[in-house]
Amino acid sequence: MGHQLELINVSKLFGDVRAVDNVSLSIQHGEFLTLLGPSGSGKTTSLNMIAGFEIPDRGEILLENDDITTVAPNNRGIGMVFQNYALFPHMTVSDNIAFPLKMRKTPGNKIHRAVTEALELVKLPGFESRYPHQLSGGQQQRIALARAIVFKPKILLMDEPLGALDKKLRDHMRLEIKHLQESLDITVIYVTHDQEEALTMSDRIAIMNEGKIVQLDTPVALYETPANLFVADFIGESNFLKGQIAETNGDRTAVETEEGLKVWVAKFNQADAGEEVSVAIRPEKIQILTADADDSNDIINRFSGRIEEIVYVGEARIYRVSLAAGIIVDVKVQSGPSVQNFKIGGDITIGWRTRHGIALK
Amino acid sequence: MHYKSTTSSLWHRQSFRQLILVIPALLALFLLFIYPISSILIKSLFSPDFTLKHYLYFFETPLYSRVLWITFQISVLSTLSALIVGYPIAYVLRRAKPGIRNFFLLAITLSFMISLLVRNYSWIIVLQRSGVVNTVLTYLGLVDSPFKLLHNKFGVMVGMTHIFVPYIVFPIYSVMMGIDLNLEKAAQNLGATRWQTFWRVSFPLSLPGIGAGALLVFIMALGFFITPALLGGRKEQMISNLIQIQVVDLLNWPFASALSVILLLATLVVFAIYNRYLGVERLWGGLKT
Repeated sequence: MGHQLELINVSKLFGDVRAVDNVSLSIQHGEFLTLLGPSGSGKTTSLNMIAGFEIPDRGEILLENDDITTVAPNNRGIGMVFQNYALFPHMTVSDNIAFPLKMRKTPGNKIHRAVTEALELVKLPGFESRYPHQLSGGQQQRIALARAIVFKPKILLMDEPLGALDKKLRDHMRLEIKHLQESLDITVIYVTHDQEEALTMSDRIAIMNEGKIVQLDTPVALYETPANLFVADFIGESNFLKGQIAETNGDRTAVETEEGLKVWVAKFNQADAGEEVSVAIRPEKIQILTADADDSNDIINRFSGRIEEIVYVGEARIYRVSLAAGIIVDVKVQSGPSVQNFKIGGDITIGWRTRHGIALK
Repeated sequence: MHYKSTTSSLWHRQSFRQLILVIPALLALFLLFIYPISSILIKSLFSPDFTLKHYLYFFETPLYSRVLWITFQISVLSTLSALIVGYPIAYVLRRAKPGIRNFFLLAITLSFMISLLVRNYSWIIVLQRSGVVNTVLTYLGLVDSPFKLLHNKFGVMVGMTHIFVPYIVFPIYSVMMGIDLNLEKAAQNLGATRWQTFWRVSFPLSLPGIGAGALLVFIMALGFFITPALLGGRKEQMISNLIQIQVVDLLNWPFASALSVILLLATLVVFAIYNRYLGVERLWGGLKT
């Protein structure tokens, strides 16, 4: 089977603002795809167009090869979980879950069975006669989920569904939603601004900024090989070193910073010598080098500096190191038995492998 | 018991100190409500000895029972027509852009500031035989002779509806403002048409506003006086008009008092019915959504 959902050159304007700007996207059956981006990046507008609450100004949306660009929301067969759950406050849990089935004129005995099954699926059996205001946030979230999947929608949309929950519950629901998605083999399009959520749940992530998809890839690829500065900055932490391309030698390229530091990165052929680039290095990819460690002999990006600051974050320590040239770099070292006792103001040598420095335009 | 009373003086008892704080409120309540109502009750029952003759006279005279019936009829009809006009206004305002919404809310509020008398006289100008409506209809050749739009039930209904609409718009509007519009999106997403979304989600959730607005307007209508006097004919006179005639024209205070008590009791009955089925606390916005 081909693509289940396709967005083809979709644009949406609000006044003069291009909320969504020429977005194309295709999603496979059973895929968990996340739209990730800062607020105002167009991810919710994209979701609203897929749900049918907004009609694109340009482009088309295909669901299983049918053009649904202008089809009314109630005729799309796409489920949605809203940020604030949007449970009907005047209906019991059972009536809430039965609502989509009643709209589809499902016979009563089938509705009853489907509601019971859906409640078991979200692990809240026996909650039929409660009202939404009698439930906790997490329980409301589960009921909203049950209501959105009970009519077996072709696609499930989720708009920041965990935003209102506290951290512990959020982490728990994250796994549960993922397991549910896998066991039901349902396609999910998930909107969030929380990168941790996106990285842990998604098969693929579309990073959005200013109405455009700036990179669409697997979580690992996004983290390890960001395609541009925005993605490198948005996903995880990075050190950025600005400089010019100095030379390319075999499979490596050298970048020279304004301060005169020469940094080797994996071969970069998107820019010629002399062009301005930034080099991104993840703090946890930088090692502290000691004279007796023989596994680091092949590291050619090797710099000495002074520890300016040490930040303890529980599972790791972050050393803020000023390099000789006046550049400050964060180094993240996992806490463990072998952590050496560095002091603020002490000298230190740090380094990273060529492949961990990513040149970006 | 760990609590040990050190003094029994009245002043130190908490209940007594709390009572002092309530006294001003009780005083106001007494002067403004309890005293006038009881004096009316007493006037209707003693003249000078205890008698029920004024009440008996009311129920024995067919005219008065008919007026009571007409009062209810007009009150129900004008409440319904204010609902029919007011509900769509509130519905549209809820969904309007803030600028438009504020303009119309201001316009509705302004109508509170124009005297009832002025508004009713305006309707006389509009509805009379040579008024705007009849002139236009005759000019267009739609009618041969002018319609009788005044001094009948139609005139009273128009006048009362006009006055009641703002009172019905605001409670419904404020309840609607508390309804998350995402609920309508959710209903549509789950397969409901616009019509089903309205009847199964938007309308039931706005019921507390309808109940509050309707109760307010209905109770106002029961005691309404100016509109039936100005725009109604002899057949549209309501209980308040009778009271006015008894007091001003006939100086029959005891019977006027009896009529007032009957009106008050009728109002309380409506209130009790509302409370039984909808709960008065909803009037002050007690419903959690």
